[in-house]
Amino acid sequence: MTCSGRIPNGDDPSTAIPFPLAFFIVLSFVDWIRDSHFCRPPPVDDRGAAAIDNLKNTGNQVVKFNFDASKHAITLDGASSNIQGLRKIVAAHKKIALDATTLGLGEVLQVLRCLAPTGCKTIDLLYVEPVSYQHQHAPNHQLAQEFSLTNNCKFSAVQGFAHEYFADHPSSHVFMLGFEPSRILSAIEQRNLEDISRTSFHMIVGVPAFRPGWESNSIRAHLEVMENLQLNESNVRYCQANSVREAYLTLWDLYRTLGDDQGCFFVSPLGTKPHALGAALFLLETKGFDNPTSLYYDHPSRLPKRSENIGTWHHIEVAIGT
Amino acid sequence: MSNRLPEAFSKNRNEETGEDNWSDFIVPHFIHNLGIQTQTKAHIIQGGRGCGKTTLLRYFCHATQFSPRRHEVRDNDLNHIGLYWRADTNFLNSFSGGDQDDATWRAAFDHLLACELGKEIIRALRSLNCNDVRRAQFGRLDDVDLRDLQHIDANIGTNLNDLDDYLRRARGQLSMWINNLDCRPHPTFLPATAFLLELISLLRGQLPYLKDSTFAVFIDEYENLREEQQRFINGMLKHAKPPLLFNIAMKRNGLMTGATIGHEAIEDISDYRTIDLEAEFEGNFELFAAELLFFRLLEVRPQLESSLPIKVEKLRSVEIADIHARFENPLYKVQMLTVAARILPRVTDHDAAAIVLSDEKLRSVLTERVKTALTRKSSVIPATEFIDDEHPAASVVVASLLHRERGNPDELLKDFQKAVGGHGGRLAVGGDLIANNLFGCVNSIYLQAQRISILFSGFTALTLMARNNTRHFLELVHRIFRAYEDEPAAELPLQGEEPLPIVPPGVQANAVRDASELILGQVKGHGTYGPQLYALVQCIGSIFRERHRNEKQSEPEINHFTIQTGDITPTLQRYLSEAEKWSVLLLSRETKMKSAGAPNSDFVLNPIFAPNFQISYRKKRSLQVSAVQLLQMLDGDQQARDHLVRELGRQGPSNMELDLFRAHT
Repeated sequence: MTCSGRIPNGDDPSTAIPFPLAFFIVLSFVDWIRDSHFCRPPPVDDRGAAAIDNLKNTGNQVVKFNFDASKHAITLDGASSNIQGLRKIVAAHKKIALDATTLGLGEVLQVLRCLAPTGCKTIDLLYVEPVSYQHQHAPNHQLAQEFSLTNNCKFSAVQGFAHEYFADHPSSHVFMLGFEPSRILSAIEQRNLEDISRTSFHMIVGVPAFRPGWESNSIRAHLEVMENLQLNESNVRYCQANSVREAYLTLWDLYRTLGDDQGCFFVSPLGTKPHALGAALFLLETKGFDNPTSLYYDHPSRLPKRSENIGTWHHIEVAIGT
Repeated sequence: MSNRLPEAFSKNRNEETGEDNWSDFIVPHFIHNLGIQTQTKAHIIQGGRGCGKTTLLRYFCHATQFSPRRHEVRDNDLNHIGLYWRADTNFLNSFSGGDQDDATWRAAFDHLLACELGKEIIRALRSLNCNDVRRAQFGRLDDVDLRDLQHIDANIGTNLNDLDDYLRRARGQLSMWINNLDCRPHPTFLPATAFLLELISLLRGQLPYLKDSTFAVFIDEYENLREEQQRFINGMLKHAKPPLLFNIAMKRNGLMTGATIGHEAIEDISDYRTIDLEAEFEGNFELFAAELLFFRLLEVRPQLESSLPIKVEKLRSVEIADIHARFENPLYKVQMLTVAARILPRVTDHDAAAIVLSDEKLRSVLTERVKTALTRKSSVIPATEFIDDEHPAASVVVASLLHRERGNPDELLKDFQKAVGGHGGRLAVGGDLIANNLFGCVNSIYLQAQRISILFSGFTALTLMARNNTRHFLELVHRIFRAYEDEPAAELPLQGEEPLPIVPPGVQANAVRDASELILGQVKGHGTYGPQLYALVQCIGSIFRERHRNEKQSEPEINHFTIQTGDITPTLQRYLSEAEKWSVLLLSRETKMKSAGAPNSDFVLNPIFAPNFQISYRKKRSLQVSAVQLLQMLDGDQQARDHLVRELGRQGPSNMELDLFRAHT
């Protein structure tokens, strides 16, 4: 599998890119699905709206797709469906594009699952960075900022990428860090990871970040967690925040380095969407390996107006099975 | 394990805190009241996070009861064999949808239970026969013939090793199926209850030492199961009877439904018995905490044995006489608490008042407070007239009285001089006025001086902050000893007549503040609504802090609230339920009645957060809030929360309960 990233040509990176010949576009707003009465639901944020507009004008079929992780239920254009239904649509088109700005990781994984059996060789991913995220100053820490970007987080395995966790077996947990420490705290709480000495931890931080200085939002927010887990610099990897490819390669590097004596390799992409996409590709590729990999993820709902304005556009082409 | 003091109280202090806690378990006074080892129906063990549910469950399970460290296992110790199961709820959440119907998922869950508990039964037999002595006493595992189980599945094999392999393979096949639902048929599903009963029956028939054994399953963290999985387990609780019983452990409000997969619901008393672990500790937690403190200290400082009034083997003993000797012996309790207080000395509010006068900065805050009040009231009495080094308590309290609207400086000066002259009066030491308000007045001076209050020290104070929660108590002590070891010369060889590590109150107060902040930070990760619960604690804690900071201190020590007006919407109810589940708020019935005659609920902010906000850890006075305000604290934006802190943090009688203090002014 290879993947390459592109940003639009020209001096202004916030200009929408002319999307390549896309015959089929899968779109989703997780928040749309919560109320099926919405005909033209409001976008979660500015960039999501821009991404949708851009894709609407280039694809010849647009499908609104939702995956409900709590029920493992698939909805296509608002109607209940299943993995076969999704696979049928994917198989009917030569080119697939995903708007990764608005799609959740659960949806991305389901589409990726469908690709290989249909013989699809490439997939296009679109992602639009924000200019800023909603935040506030943290109590007790003048320099720290707190972000409220998601809610309703609940760790729930995704069929196809689920491996059971056993506290008495060795395992590795890789957390791709974002701005909200609540998510990793919840991950630790659910598995009592602080009490377990058989788990090795690795943190992946987005450096360079989308914007200079944003990396401190990730690092500072997680210092306490890392201290409690008794981690040091050897447990931290840095990886470009907006690079799907780097995230994917970083996970592969860790996976190879740790070897098969570390048990199951759990990946928690709690940071940027490009990191989550890299994780999805990694999980797809390692599915069924002797040394198992698994997703450990909390499927957040993204809060409305969580980000503002439109930053850099990314078009990522991924070749499957080459 | 290292021999550093903090390590003895660390969560991950060693790898032995797993299945077998035979050597670690301090027998609580209520052990025999639980009736677990003589149970004939299900138990639901509930309590807050960190109160010791898992430790208790582990204690009753085979790895501990048949521990190789246990010298003697008698025949009747086999009457109750505990099996532990804690599911990976992340994995179990995937038991839904995927084009499989509900019945298939139910059967898959049933199968998973059969595999896990079947393996646990085999492990229990191996725990029991863990060494040569035991094998000589019990043994005969190789003789077990399981051919009769082959009617369930011909691949089960003929002996325990075969069955173990079969169950492992079956578990692997289940995982494989879940990850390839659209291209693999489901494996053969085992029905848990029927399979386990048949297995138990064969074992009881072939191993004479098991002829009277009941296998009791303990399902931990039941609250994290899916609702339909809870219903399935509920049915097992309801219908279970010896030789296979089921028990569950959960946080408060963890029972999403009392329904079963059948038509009947489970009901307390008739179907199960509820054990509230924190309630069981009530009244004896201080003594238990002292035992835990010494027990852990001895792990790293065995040379302290002669200085500590415990005998380790007595703490581990389940003999009734030994338990009575600990918990029904006033002298033992006094000895224990005295030594604990020597290691972790406290500063009383009277001593703290003296410190206020002797510390330059704190004294200047006090003096300024008096001056401000006198200036506001256009009094020309010098501030020094209200401060007397020999009467620190009266000095500190009168400073707040002067700020009251009805605090007449001339009259208060007379009262003060009366107290200073030894003629009693309402400012006399021992009077209600001092007793009720000194803590709050001292604390407000520390808050105003931006100092960490010395009142957050002392063994008893720690137990009040931990409030029957072992994990919180250990975290406090862990941080205290970490700070103690960072103090210069703390690690010098112990010498002289006092071999015990004595932690100065100032060191304790700083460490306790850090521990509290750490525990507060973890609230963000408490379930789906962790961020909202964290926002609530930050907001209500800040409101209480503002109240504690107030110069008047007419309502000292406000640290709980009631919902006075507004409807408790389903959303708010869900948040409150979660807050109680995660012990962020502790619910108690209010003693007063609302005007309509309905009893109201009192929500107490968990006192473990008190040091972070420097507010009182003693349940004292209550604040009234509206349902709308409470909802804003939970999921309002930051601006709305800041507004609430300003609005409710302001001193004002409008939303206060009866002021005990006002009557004296």
